[in-house]
Amino acid sequence: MAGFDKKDAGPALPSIVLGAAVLVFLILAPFVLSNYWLRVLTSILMYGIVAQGLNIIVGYTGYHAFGNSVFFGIGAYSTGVGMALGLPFGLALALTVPVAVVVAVMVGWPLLRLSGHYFAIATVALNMAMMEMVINVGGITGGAQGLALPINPMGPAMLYKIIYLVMLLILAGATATVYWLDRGSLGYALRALRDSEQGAQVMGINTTAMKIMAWAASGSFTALAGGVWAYWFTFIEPSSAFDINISIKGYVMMLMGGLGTVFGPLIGAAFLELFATIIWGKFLKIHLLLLGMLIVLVVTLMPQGLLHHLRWFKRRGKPKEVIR
Amino acid sequence: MTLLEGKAISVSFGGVQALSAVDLSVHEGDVLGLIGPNGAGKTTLLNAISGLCPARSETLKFNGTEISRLKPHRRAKLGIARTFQVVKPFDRLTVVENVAVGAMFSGHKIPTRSRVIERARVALEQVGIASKADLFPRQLTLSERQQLELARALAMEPALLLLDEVMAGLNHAEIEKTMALIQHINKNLGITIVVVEHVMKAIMNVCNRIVVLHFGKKIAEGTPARIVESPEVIQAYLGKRFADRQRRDLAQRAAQP
Repeated sequence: MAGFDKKDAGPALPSIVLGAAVLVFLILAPFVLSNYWLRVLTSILMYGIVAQGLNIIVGYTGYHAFGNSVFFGIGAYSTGVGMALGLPFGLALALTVPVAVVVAVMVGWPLLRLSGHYFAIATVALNMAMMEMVINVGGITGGAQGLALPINPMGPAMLYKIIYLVMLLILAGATATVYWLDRGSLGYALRALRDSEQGAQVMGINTTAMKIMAWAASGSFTALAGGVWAYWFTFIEPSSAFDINISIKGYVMMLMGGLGTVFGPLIGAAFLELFATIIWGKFLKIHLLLLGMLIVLVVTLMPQGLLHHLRWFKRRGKPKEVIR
Repeated sequence: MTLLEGKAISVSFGGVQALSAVDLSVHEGDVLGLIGPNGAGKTTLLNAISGLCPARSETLKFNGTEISRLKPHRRAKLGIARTFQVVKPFDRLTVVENVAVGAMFSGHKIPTRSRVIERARVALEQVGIASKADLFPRQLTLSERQQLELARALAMEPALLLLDEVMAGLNHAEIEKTMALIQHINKNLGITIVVVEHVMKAIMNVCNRIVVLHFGKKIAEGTPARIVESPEVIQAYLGKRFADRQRRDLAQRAAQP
């Protein structure tokens, strides 16, 4: 973020090499990894999308959308209902984007006038309201009983590979979007209104439109993750699709990796999910305790996030400010 | 030519009438001083012009366009820039990025990134903090942060610049510098200026016209020489001793060729 006029310098060579290696690994992964590790990796990607989605509205725009899991649920249910109505997976998934955008615009217009913890609480309430709505609408959504998606005829092994690759594609899209935001004038508009809304307004920035747009983008990616998750698990119910823990976990990942940075949320997602898996495997009885301690340690010792301390990625030259 | 024409501008917060039916006209090329005791409604008037607080008015025209119903960002794009008394920097952007935001989103479309930066650096030069370009706002002193506010506004290349106490808390030398800067912006850059200020020496020196507010009403308007003669203004704000001294100073300056 520091010094965008220096961007011609580009990222350092080691980070290009490392990035390319990671990308090659991610593309080859479904063909070499066991089903277990593929599953772990898929879930890292899924949370990476959730964290990256949060990064747009929280890290860049400064609106703490704690209840962003509402979009995860909306994505899961619009994909689920779409497929129950006979749409193919791809089309049902694609339709989650307009659904998420409509919700973000309709709800965001009043909600984004709130700020700070008022907005955070309002999004949590929105998540609960949506969950109740799905339960009570019943009918095609399956209500409280949940909704079973059509079983894929190609068998689980193939399906899991496809699920993985779709997640990867969406995460790449989300990261490319954030990269573009980070460099472009739109990202400056968001960061300006994050730091001072009135200051941004009198400098010609339509803050209302910018906030809604940011939330719509954030919600769209989150909804896509939810949609793929629904097909992955093939059975969804309101309490697991609108699970607030999804956004809380994404939040922790974003904070750990470094919010307001392009790759921070991805690093946070990989770090936390991998450690959670390993700790869970080794210390079944006290894994939550250990995981909690780990989070406390990382957040206290590295409040700026892991990314800040991975010097390779750090753009050279200027000190980065503490971002909280 | 009248750049800004406001008729009967009123602002109320609940039961408090912050501004009642104030007429204000700013002519092109003016440096208009806005003075009055604390709570007189000076900042509120600036907020009403820049669109940050809901105001009622018979008309509020800028460059012939009715702006009273426009949102702040639309007014900014038309060419109204302002600074805040309590500075509002973008804390997590560098100084030059702060200023670049002004160049990016003002009504003048600047085509390329490098031109935006160039424009931002020029503005930083103009206010004299070019050497701080790559620092963050919280690394600046108060006076530098006030200059940053000014630079952000200048980068927008506005037609009208509203300055809200840019000299508050500055020392003598800094005030002299800022006065010179205001005159430079007005004369050489051709920007019309409205200044809210308590530093009377500056107001008397840089302004060609002064409007005095008291309890939300306009109680006087005129040249600095006329203002220091006005009994209402002396009573409400200046005080007798100060007015006498100012009158003497103005007379002295007039006597000099």
